[in-house]
Amino acid sequence: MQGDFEFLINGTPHRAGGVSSATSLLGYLRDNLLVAAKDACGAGGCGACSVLLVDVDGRGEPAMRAVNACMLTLPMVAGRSIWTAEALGTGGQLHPVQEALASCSRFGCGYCLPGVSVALAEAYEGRRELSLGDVVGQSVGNLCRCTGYQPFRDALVSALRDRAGEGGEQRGLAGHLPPAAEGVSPLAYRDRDGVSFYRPETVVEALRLCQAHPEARLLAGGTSRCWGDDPGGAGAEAATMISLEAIVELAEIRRYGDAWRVGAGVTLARFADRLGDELPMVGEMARRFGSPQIRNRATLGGNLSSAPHHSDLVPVLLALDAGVCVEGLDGVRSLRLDELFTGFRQTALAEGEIITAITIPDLPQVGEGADVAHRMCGFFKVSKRGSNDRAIANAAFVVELDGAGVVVRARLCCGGVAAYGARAYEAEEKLVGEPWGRGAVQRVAVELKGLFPASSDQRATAGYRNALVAGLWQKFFTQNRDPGQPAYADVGLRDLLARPAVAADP
Amino acid sequence: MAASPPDRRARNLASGRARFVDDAIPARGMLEVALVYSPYARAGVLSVDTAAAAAVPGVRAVLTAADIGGDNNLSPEAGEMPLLAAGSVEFHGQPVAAVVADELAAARRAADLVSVEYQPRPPVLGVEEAIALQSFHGPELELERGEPDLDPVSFGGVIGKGLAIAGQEHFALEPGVAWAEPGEEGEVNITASAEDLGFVRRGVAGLLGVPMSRVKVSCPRVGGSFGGKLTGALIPAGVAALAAQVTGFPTRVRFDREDEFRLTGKQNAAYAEYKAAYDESGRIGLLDCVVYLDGGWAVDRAPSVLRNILHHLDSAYFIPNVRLTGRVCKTNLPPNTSTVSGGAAVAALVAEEIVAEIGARLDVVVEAVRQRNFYGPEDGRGVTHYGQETGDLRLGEAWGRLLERSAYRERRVEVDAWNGTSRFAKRGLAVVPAKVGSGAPEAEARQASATVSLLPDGSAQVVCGEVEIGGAMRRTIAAFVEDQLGIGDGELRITAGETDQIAASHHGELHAEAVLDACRQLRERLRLVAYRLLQGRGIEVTDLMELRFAGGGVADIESPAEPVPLAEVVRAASAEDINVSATGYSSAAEILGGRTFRDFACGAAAAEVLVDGFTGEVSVLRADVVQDVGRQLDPEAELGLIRGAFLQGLGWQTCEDLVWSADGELLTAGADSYLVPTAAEAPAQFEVELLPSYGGYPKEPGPAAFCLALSVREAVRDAVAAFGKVKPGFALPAPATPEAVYFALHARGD
Ligand code: FES
Ligand code: FES
Repeated sequence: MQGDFEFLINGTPHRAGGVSSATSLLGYLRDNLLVAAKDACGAGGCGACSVLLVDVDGRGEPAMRAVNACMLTLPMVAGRSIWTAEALGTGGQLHPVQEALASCSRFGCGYCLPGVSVALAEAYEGRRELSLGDVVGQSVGNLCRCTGYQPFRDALVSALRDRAGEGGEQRGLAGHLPPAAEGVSPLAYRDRDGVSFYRPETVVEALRLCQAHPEARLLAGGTSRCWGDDPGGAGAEAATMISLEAIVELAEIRRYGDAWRVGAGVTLARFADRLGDELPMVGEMARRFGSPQIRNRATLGGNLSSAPHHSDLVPVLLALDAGVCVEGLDGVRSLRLDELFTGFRQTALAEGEIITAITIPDLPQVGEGADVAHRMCGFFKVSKRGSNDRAIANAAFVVELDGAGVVVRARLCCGGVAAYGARAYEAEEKLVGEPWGRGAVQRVAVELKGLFPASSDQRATAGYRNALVAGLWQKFFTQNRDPGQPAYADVGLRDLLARPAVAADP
Repeated sequence: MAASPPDRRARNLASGRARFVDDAIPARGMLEVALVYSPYARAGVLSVDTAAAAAVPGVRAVLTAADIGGDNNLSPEAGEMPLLAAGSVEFHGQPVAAVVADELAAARRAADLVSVEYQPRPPVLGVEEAIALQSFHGPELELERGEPDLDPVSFGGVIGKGLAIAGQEHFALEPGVAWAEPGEEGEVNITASAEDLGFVRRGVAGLLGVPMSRVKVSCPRVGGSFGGKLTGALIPAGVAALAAQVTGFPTRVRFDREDEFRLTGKQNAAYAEYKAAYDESGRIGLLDCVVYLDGGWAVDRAPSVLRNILHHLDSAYFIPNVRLTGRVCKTNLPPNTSTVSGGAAVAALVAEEIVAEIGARLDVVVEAVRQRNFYGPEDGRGVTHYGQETGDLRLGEAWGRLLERSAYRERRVEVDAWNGTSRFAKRGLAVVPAKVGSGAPEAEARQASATVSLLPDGSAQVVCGEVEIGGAMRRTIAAFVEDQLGIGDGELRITAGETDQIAASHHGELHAEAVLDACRQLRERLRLVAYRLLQGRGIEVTDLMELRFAGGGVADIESPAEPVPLAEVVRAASAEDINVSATGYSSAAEILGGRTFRDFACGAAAAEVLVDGFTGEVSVLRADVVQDVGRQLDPEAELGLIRGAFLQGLGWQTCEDLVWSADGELLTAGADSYLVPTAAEAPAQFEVELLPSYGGYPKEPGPAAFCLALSVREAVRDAVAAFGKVKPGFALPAPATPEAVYFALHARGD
């Protein structure tokens, strides 16, 4: 066991000796007079504490990722490199997004701005083409009470325009990235209170540690605390913590035969970067899942093992007929995803077992000669606040029709309503063999309304939740009434947000 | 929007170099505090045993009400509002004790060991319960005009209903924070994030039982307040000061987000019951309205808010006969307090509800009803129900401009046509006016003073008690100095935020006015000196009273290109023993001159929304705002302030929802459960325009902009009605959350 570890802040090595494993990165930064990151909620909900973490993008290339410093404990950043708002500038200049933000910051209190600059810098550094919707989405993890947000949008757009112009490539933080992705190093640290923090390199090592420390808390991205009712996140006190972040295998996204195999340690952000285009439901789900900061840390395995009933991931994976690979010291087993959940925040994982991967089989061929002529997919989510909020109800639907317009296969999956996200088998059965049309859809809607035992909380009543399950299904039908014909008018909002943020010819 | 080049302050804010209270170096290593909170909304406190907590290593003190040497009362108005509970607790989460320790972790551990014996009592929760139990603070307020006892039926139509209007958490991004250092001679120096330093000073001195002169309060800048850091600031400052006094060591108190939610008052929830009579043209003839305001358990600013509500129930509409009554309810919640609109938005919400229902009942377009009811010069329709002339109200201008720039009429047609083709989603469009009185300082802050000193190089220093929040008041002050003395912003140093310098209050306008007064005095004193210097240069002075102070020099109005540098004038004045430093004074009475408000800010907004009939979700597609902000000092900043306040109002009416348990515990006490709008909730297209600037005062744009967000609520109403399932005058809850909208469209259980 080591009694200290190192990490980089703004390129400067820091050594933490003995510090409590529960110390948050945010607390550490602020105690060390790096006070740009602010503590405004301490729970991943406001983005005021945002910092950049050197990590990888969807393709596995080095990238700067915005993360909430309040959701990271110090051992989680051992061996890693962090950049704070104070140090985003180079050569005596502010970072281009900061410069752009500064020109519109004369009327707000400014408290949120360092965190905002970090979130916007991630987009700037990501060097992707962004739509207007991406620009708006980039700051939904950063609350601001003063500006009405327009300045953030304007700042990012103007910085992106500047980046596209002459010399733009040189500005920014690219020089701070390593030439190739560096893995997360293993760690075995014991703090001054005797709390151990392990970051093993292989699954087997992790399993052995679990066996040796049955009381240990497993840690992936550490973001679940932001959702309030799960004590499993950063800062929670446990005598032993085992982080799965250094296990290379868990971070891989691979093809295996006719399926994708996505490591349990893959973050939502990387998952969407890689598969969001191929599987549009995944892209849509990821846009609605938390904030960029949360998606940069939250992992597939973490989300499934903590089994929140409102998980946006679960219905989508169910609709894609995903399986989970589970490993214990006794061996490996595969489950269908719907076999994983057994109750409110309860799973079928035995003691000492962990989820190692999620498999997503390719959907059957559609078209001429295949038995499926049309496939319709959709992800829906209703939350009290449209963005960066947990679902009151969500749903993913896949319906396949034959050439005669009869339903051959259906997967109707709902979350947020009952104790865990689940498939509506009874409703699916009612649908298969029926012609796709109002009559069958209506019968299924009635079925769906009563299928999931809902409960009430401060977000919504049970009655609303149950009504939504049927409502979302009817909405799906309205959008797909004529298979292959997009029918749902949305008054250009979608088009507006899909426009490139920086016009080709400004 | 062409942004002007950023200044250093803006750069520092954007890059995190600007220091807020908790960012200061001295705050590290101070003693820290954990509070002990009441688990009951109402209970007797039989005993508090602190022995086990005091024995925890690292604990320096466990403070209870008994340790308060002075008066355990924070209330700015009449009544009691203890810092630490004494004898009873009156809201869930009320602090009963404070543990002071070397480290926060130890303080928290020890706080869990304080054992308190409670005797729970049934709490009063919510306005309706308070009304039933006749649980009120203070007397009834009343405002009357005309003949409110006329038979409403004689006007034509009568409508009426009861309307519950939710409160709102301020949710400034920076949670409450303060630290206190004991001085060598019994004084206390406090650094706090506070909107009104003078108020904190008075409150802390009262708590500690020391003269106010022994308490110094300073504040480098505030990370948002919106009214939440008036009385709210006294809690961390008071606890820190008390801890410093008792232990003799510097102590820091930091609220976390949950503290902020549980301990501090919010915008009051309200319940309004009204009866309104209207004629066939849609004009309101009579309004009889009772407003009940949830004051919480003690009296903070609720009486001022209530007064302000009664003064704004007309919104932009002339109502000849009114009887408005108001009561502050006593409930078991933290004492509710001041906010951005100071209650004007609650009043405007009721007014718009009335007008919308009249429109629906008469089956005429509601904007015509709105317009028909506007204040105007004809038939004595220009005087408010409290007797103030609205002569210079630029409402008609704002309204006309808005209809034009938002292409309202064309879009109305287009939206209606679109709705005809869409069965499950409907668009809604609405335009609403706002009129908000400005310059009505609350009773406790009626005067201010400020000192302007000219320096030998022609630059100047201004000292006043204003705190930096958004910089708006700094700009007003800088503009006044530039107007009067011709000294540019770059040559000016404005020191503010310390009670040490001059007794402070939070009313920016009073400070600006005091600066203006000081500048006028200086002009007066320099006039003769400048005259002599100009004469000495062979420049004929046309009019001694009309010298031109501009661009760092003083010139004759006829020969502006040949000024004497101000530096020279100042040095010459000093040589003649003329005091080049002046203290100005201003008072509310002077500004108001016998009126209720100094003047009115006004504006109009059009909002367009899309309502999803399957789910009740609302997207705000577009908002257009036109506002009169009086004199424009920094138009871009005004635009920004308007957008910010509009979005707060939008949040109040859509996703922000305070939910309490049946026992009075706030269930939405965090950033993940109390949902303020994010960037994605802002209107997808958001255009703001200011009416052309004119002389005189700048008018604070925030309150009117906050009220104008009611355009979103009215647009939701319009869309809901377009589904064709609701009756005229249907109840649209406030806030209109997705669930509320859904159940406005579908019967529950259907
Ligand atoms: S402090 Fe709010 S997200 Fe970290
Ligand atoms: S500027 Fe005040 S919170 Fe964003």
